[in-house]
Amino acid sequence: MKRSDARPGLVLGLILWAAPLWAHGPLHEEIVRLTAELQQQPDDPLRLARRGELLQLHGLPDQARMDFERLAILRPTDVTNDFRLGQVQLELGATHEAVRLLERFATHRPQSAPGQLLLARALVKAGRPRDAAEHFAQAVEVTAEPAPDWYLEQLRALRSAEAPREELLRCLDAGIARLGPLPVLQLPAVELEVQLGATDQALARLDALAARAERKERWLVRRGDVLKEAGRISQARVEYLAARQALDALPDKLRRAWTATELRQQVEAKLAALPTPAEAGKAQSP
Amino acid sequence: MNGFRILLLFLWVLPAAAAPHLTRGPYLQLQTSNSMILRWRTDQDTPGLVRYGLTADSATNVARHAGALTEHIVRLGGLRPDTRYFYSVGRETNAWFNAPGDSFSFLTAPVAGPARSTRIWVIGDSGTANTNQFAVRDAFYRFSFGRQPDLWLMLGDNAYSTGTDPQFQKAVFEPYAWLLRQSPLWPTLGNHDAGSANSPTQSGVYYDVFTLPTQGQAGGMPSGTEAYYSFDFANIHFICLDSHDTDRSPLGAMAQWLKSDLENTSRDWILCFFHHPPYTKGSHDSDKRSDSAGRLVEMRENFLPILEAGGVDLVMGGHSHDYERSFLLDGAYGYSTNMAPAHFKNRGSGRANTDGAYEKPSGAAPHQGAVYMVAGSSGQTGGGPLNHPAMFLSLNKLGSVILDVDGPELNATFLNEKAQVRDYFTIRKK
Repeated sequence: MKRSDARPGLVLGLILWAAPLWAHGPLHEEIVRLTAELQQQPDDPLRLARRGELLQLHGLPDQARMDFERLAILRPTDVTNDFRLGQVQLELGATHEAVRLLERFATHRPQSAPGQLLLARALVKAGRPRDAAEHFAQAVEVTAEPAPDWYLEQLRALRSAEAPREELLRCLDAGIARLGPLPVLQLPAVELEVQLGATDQALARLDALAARAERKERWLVRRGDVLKEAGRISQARVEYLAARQALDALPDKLRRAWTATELRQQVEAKLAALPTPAEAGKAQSP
Repeated sequence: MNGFRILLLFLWVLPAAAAPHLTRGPYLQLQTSNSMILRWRTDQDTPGLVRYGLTADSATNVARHAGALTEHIVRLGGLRPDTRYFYSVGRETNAWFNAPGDSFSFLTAPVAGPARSTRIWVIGDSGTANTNQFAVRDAFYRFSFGRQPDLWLMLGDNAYSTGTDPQFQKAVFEPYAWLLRQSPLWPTLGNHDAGSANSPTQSGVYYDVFTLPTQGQAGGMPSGTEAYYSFDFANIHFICLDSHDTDRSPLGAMAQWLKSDLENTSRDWILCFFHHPPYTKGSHDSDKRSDSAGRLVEMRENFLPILEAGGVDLVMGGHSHDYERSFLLDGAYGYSTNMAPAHFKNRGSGRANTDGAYEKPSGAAPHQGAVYMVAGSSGQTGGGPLNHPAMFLSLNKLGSVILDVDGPELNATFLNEKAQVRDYFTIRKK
């Protein structure tokens, strides 16, 4: 939607990291042409870099690595080549070497979102989720429009690092603050709120989602589930009954649809499984 | 005397040479029932204004963007649903680039929900900027004369070979200028477009030139990204996925969003489009994990189960440069060699005048069958074995697809570059 920011690293990212695939024909022809030219000038760094990139795009990472390794010898201080070589090493499963190269690249180009992101993914593979989470956060920080996936990857890394739930929530809330109350970020946040015993916060998140949804019945069921989990049985019953009412109020063709009839069966089962008020009172008494 | 003439000529030519010119558009984006976005480009920084109204003579409402720019984006809000507006774009209230008229007008979307006769034009891999592309376009214009499409879809590879801005100019904005200013375009990203664009950062040419919903502005659940999105038009729910440059795993944000989006729609029809087709034996092979780095296989394995559980009716892709159209299918998530009779919900042609339309229950019923279509020959043909067993018909022919949705019936037509109908079928909801 917006014009590209002239961010350092973006151009590099677009070239190297966006995974553009040229048609097989032109791509192959260009590799052949570059190979012929490199026979005349075997140490031409621009041609080596270009051929390596094309080989990688063509699904030949082994051959690409040879070009980038040659380039590293010719231009040992070229950090851009650290990104290229790091990327191909990661693809080939040489994780620790990839991490070494990508860490060097990120040190020199901390504002490169593709660099931070690739390093984070390499660190996940290297079994360093805590470090990975930090670089996912960096990637988000230096990007104008981060993708929802980045927050989910950071969340997974934090979970692997056994980070406290509050930290997981902060990660999701950072995404919600940037991208809006997306279901892909709010729903895991609801789960975490429930685990933390923050029932009302979980309900508020569900309400934010329901407000933007055309169909309310599933959100009412989720509200009921959260309340049931919190032991607020009478309130859970109200939500399930409201869900049933919403289902019954659907137009005929939607009410008869398999998804609606299945959900109605689930609601009935949930209502039947709720303890009666007497049972609930008994369970709560000492 | 000669000097005086030269001076006069200079004074006459200079302002004309200095006047800003329209170099792209106007074109319509992000149509909703009460708003429309107009975009255009000028060769110099200028203010950007739109005047609009219900007739060409009464186009007196004015909307503008702030500042002076070359990329102009103006949102018109507070519009009436399903209503035609006439417009001009310009730089000052007395300097317009066009006069409002039939070819500078648009329809807002109808209110989502009720059925309304809808025509959709679908092109795939169209961006060759050559005579093939123009012939396919002209064939559609002839076929659809007097019946504008309400919206149109691009299935990716919209601008060869690497989706640069000049390539988009030659393959999208110039050849389709007439349609772009009257009918909103909804695109998806192809691998060639991704040569100059990046989905995770939503940057690069594709993301610069299109304005797409991220917050469910046109219906559907908010995706948070322009890379994949949904929108409603009348009784149809459209879903655009990014099969090229977004995480395609079941745990990824796109798959999670798709589930919630499908759960929350009430529309009668669900149409989905993305670039890499789940079934093809054309210039690409959906049986090969090595083809396109596994994208075709991943879309089939990870996304078809979600789409079919959500009641999808039609799935459209490109990538292979041909036309392939399936039977009514369900549950075929493996290789073509593993296709079984149970995967065919209807093994007929889907043609109402021969062995009958494909019939499905009304509403978004899960696993009642979907038709899968490759429409990647709007700019070139690519051959291949064209023998996928999922397909009722496979053609190595140039062409495009017209979808006419009218209440409980969807009629699809494959039109070649000579405006001849080469395939058709109907899906009917009972």
